[in-house]
Amino acid sequence: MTLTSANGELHCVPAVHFRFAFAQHVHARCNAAATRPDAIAVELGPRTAAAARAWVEEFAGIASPTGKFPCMLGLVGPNRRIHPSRREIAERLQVESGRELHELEPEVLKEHLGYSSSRVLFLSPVDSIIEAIRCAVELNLPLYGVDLDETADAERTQYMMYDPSLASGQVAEYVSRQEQYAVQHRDIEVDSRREAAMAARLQVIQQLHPRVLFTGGLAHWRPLRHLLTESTDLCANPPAIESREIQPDEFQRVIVHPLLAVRHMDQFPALVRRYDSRRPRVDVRQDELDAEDTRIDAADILQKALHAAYEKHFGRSQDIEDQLARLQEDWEAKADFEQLLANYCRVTQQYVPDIISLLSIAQGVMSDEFCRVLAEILMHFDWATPEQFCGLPILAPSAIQTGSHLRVEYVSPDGKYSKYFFIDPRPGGGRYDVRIPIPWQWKDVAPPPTKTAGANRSWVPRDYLTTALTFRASEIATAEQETRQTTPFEGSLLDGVDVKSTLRSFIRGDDRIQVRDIRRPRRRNAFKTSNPFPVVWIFHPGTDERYTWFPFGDSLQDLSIQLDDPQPLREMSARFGDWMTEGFAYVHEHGLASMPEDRSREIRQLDLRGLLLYMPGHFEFPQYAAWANQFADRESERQVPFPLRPVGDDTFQTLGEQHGLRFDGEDWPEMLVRAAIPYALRAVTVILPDKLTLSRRVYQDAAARGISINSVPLSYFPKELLTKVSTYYFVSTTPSGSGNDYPDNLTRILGESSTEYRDWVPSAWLKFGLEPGTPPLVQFA
Amino acid sequence: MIDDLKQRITIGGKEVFLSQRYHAVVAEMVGRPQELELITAAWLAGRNELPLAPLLVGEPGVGKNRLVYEVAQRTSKELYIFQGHEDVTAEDLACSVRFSDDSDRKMDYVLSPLVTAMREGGICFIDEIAKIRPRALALLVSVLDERRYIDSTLLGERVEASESFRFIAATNTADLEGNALPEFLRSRMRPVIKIGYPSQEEVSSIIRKRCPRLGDRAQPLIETFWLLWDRYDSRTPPTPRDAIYVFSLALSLADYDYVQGRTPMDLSEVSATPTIETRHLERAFAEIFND
Repeated sequence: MTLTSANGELHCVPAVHFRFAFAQHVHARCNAAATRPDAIAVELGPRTAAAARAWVEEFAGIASPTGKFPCMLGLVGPNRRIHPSRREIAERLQVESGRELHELEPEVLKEHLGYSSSRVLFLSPVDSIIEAIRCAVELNLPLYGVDLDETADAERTQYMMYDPSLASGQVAEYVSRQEQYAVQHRDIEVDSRREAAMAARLQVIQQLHPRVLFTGGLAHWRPLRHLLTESTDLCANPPAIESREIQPDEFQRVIVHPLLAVRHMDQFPALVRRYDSRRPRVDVRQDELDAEDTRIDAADILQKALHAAYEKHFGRSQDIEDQLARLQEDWEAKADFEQLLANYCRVTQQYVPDIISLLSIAQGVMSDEFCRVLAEILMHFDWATPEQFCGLPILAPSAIQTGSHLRVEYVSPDGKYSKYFFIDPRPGGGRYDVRIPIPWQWKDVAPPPTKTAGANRSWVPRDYLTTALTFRASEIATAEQETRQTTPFEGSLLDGVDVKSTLRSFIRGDDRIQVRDIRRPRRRNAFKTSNPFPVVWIFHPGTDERYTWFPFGDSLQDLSIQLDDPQPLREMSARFGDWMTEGFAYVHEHGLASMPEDRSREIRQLDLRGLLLYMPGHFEFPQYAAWANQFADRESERQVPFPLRPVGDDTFQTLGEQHGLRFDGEDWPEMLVRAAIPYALRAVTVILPDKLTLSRRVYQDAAARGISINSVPLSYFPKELLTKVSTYYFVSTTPSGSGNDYPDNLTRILGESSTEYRDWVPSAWLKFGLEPGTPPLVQFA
Repeated sequence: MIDDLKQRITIGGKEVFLSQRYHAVVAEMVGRPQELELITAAWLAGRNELPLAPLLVGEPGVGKNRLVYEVAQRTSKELYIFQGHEDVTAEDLACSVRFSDDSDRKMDYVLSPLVTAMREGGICFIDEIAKIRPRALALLVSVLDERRYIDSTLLGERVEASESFRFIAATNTADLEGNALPEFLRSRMRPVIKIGYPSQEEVSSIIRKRCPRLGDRAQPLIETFWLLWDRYDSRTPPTPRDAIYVFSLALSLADYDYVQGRTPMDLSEVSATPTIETRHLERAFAEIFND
């Protein structure tokens, strides 16, 4: 990889970006006196290199509090080039939309033109280019950016690569083996220009310095070597720009959120930690590094992380029942998980999997709890935080991800400026459904509020889950009412031979075998045939002083604005009371986290012992309005399937007076069920612990109103889901049209996407009230 | 002993018929590299390592079956598909009987696609597995753990799986409402692979591959399709099936314009390059999505 000319030598380090082996090689060359260069060149544009150098210089001397390279910072720069192959599409887009390109949505530009208005340089310590810049700063060497500052985003094809983790200590061999494949990764239209520029500038730099070190992408190496060795004079007067000569002002410094940074930190953050912790400064004379000290075995590090996760997961709980549940769920799956992990590495030719693939595999095999523990361990890292770099905008992945590109946004600390754009994700391709927890250092960091805080709403994934499980419970209860009949055997054993009926038919002289045919009521349309509400969930019976009643609901007047004809709902509000109680719970409440920029935006965690819902909790405003509106013409409030009260009145006092109930915490499970009965049309669905029996009083109440109690044991549902259903989060949201905008960082704080469990809810119940012509709820007619 | 012509074999002295394999005729696969890698990894088996049984979960039409066809093609294995529904019984998963065409006997035994795949060392794909009642699925337990056999009550025999037998199942997300699959099966069907919506680029590419007759009009029509889709549903992206249906109907409408007016109308005659226009696409869209 060393090219010699009359002027001196050029040592090239063709690299796979963000992989430690190549950074290690650059460091080793700069560290040893025998190979130390006189100048360094990198595959960055001159202005980009200058901006990076200037920033690295600022913290190189003082370093981070731990003395290590802060991870991770980034530089966001403008991008003005469109790929040459997309020119025609760009013209057509302008003609058909009647707008200039810069006026079009970023999504449209990315999807149709592969264009993003910004580009990011991630200052990852394991990237060979960043390592080269660090070395240039530490040795006070000239640094040259030899690439073009502005190029279109290249359109690259994927290829299978021998794992770069194995290049450690043998970069030359790795490059010679892989360069033929890497060259296929090039985008000829974009990369050819860049390589010509790089070669020309390198030739000029060689004339200025006898020994130059250059590092850039492996894909460019073959064409670059060809240009450098075959052409003696590539350009009459190419600009060889040294980074100290430029005053860049076009780059925005950002601090990169760990959820984005993790995609640019080799296979997982522990590799960066190991690399940086064993990296001596190159200006401290230390000619030969001990190979054993600098050796990084990625498989060994991963193995240790897995062991730590097993230990923490299987051994952390003191509760025997809880431990057994973990063992039962995960112990058998552990072997499958490890087998799948090994096989995946074989299939993808990786020595160790990247963090995204690793967690994706874990999520397909292991319990959510194990995945959370594993992710926490893998994300354990000394992250750079906004407190360390005050005033810098945060660059983070957006809560909403669509398409194959990663949507990122950066927000200034005062929230006045925010912008989003797209980058190509790595590693893990376009997988965004992998749950990665927020590291503790970033837990309290939230993007500043950009709108006025609004209503306090429950976190919708938990509502989806509760609705979905409620339907499942109702279905289980209905399945109990299956019909059984016996039919002669005609080819199918159906539900098995009915021995008694067969004997009886033999006695009658019919020698046909009789089989059982057990049928459940068919679920043609969950929307029309089953309405599981009201539903009562009893998670943990028993009393506890810390627990109190927690009602939730909406004002009919407020909801009425969602309807084309608000009048009926307003009249209903005037007649029966404005406040519609949607449900209530027996809870212990505590704050989880508050958002630093706005203390009023607090996430409240509610631990539920019991829950009563008169209607689905996942509804948006128009849906609640449509639901209430179905009953707006009722003559009596007794015909309305939810409690109504005047604003200002106490929900529990009103219910108590109307139905003779006492909400004092004594025998609260019974109160929940009895508060549901008056508002049920046919049945109340009750999901309760296996050993809990409701009192006779409850059944008497139900019988008096002709209502049945459909009980379903809690053990029908996995424990991990029950844990989620019994933990609610309330957060101040911003009303947006029909629904609520949750704070952007909530997904990251709670580790759940806002659409989690949405797919589990029957689609008719998701669409109810949102589309014209949604069928009415016939069961209430 | 296999009778190639009639697909008959003998088990325990009884002559039984095999289920028919499925040959998928498919266009080139677009996207899904990670999912393909994961399924392949799950099926790798070696000494002391049994292949895993992946479960694909996703919305209808996102391409779960297409993935299975692709893996079958890449592994050169025979594919046997069992369609799940509510009336499947436990014995249907193993063996069924039918009235025989042979006058010498009353009934024929017919091995299910599952048992045929086990015998022949092919792939068994149970589609819509969550629609099958839990008690019917109980028979799968011994197939998916280290025993790798199935007992057929009807046949009175035990059938052991060939070493090269592989299993995969799929279900629509909605059918998993409230975790519909019984625990004994969930723990045996790993990994659970969530199949999300393909990206806009992938859907566009699928349209181009599946509808080559669009010719030069493909790009502007695809752009029109996205505009129409945004107007129809900006919340969820279309599935490949949605997109293919729209373009197939639009092509048929263009073909209709081509043949109408001719007497008699020849339904087998289509234009190689139909003059498909935006109005065809708009009408197809309205017919399919606007109730």
